[in-house]
Amino acid sequence: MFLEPAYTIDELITRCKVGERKAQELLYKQLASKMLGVCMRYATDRMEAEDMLQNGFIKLFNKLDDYRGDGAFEGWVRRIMVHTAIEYYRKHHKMIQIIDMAEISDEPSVNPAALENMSVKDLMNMIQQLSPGYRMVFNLYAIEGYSHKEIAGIVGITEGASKSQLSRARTILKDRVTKMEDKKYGYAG
Amino acid sequence: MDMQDKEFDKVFKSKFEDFNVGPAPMVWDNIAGELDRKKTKRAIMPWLSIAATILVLLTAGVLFLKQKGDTAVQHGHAAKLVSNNVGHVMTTTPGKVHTAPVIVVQHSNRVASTKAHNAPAGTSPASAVVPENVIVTDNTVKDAEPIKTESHNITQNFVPGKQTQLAAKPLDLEQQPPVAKPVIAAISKQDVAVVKKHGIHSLGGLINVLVAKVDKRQDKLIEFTDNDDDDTESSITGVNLGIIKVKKQ
Repeated sequence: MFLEPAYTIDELITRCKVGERKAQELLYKQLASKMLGVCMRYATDRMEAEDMLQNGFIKLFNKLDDYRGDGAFEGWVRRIMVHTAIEYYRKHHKMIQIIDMAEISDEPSVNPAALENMSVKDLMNMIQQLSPGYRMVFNLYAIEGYSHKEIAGIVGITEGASKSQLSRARTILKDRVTKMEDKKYGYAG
Repeated sequence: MDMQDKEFDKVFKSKFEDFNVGPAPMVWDNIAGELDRKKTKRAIMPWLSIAATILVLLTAGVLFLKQKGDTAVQHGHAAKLVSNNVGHVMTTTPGKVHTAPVIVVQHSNRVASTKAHNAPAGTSPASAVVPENVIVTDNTVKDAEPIKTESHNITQNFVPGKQTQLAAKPLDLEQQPPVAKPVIAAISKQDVAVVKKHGIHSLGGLINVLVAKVDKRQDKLIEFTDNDDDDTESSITGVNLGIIKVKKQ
């Protein structure tokens, strides 16, 4: 296999800062798959996710001078992607406040083993089917680990709204997990 | 068996921890294209700004002269013209001036304070256009003395014959071609003062103020954005060339 000359991530960053196109491409290739994995969770479909990824990387290269080398580079890139996704959400879904599907009266109970056995692909589908607001809050809180206060600040909603959207998102997800489990074993639901 | 919310979240988090999806090749092409576009824009922008500034200043100068050309022109400029012409009048008709009883009063190089509208039409244009405090420096007009009286007094005291001789050499300021340099210099001086007042944020804002100073129309000759956001550079929001008008909101 013909290898590209191996650069450390720091070397790549330095060369990217002076705008070297080859270095930018290498850096992109190192991170793109993982970051698209992040964007996918914030998007409705793959096309939207690739849009976010594209915007995120353009922002990354333009802001690279701000990266001082403190903290993991991947974490820094990830934050840029998440913020790009939030921006995308604001731009495209600002006014849409969909009340998600039929009301779920009872809190569905989820079998932990059933959840563990589900594929990432299935979980991704469930997240992508959430309405944009629920999806955003669930991602930021459950996966990225932001607090409700932080979410309120960056998304531009109240803390209370963040809490109630998270709770609604969880309920919907649990409901779907349960239904999939039932389907698998032939229950009527 | 039920599950706590925390555990539920945890499962999602761990499942997505190492989730990778290869993006379409097109995505990198788009990124590279966008980076190229920004690069070219950055390389061109400074030159565009400079070119626009020069154009604006030149056009501003022309417009300013057009507006002011009809009326008073400039103090210093008018004074210069007048002093030259007064000298001319005096020296070419020395006898008359010396014998004019009222004009000659004291030894002094000051020519007097009379205003154009005070002078009855067709009488004494020379004195009519002399602004206040004009100093006649020409040595050949030593004998030009201050005219203390108002212009109508002058005309009263003038011998009719002499009046007509003076009138025969009218000072027609309007026909004098305006001189560009002093006027433009004056504009820049005034505007430096204005700049501070308005809290200008960018080169665009500076140009806006300069243009507004000269171009009094609602849609200016050229308008730029004025924001202090470092990320965005000033861009043109409006152009008004009289027949061609473009305005961006």
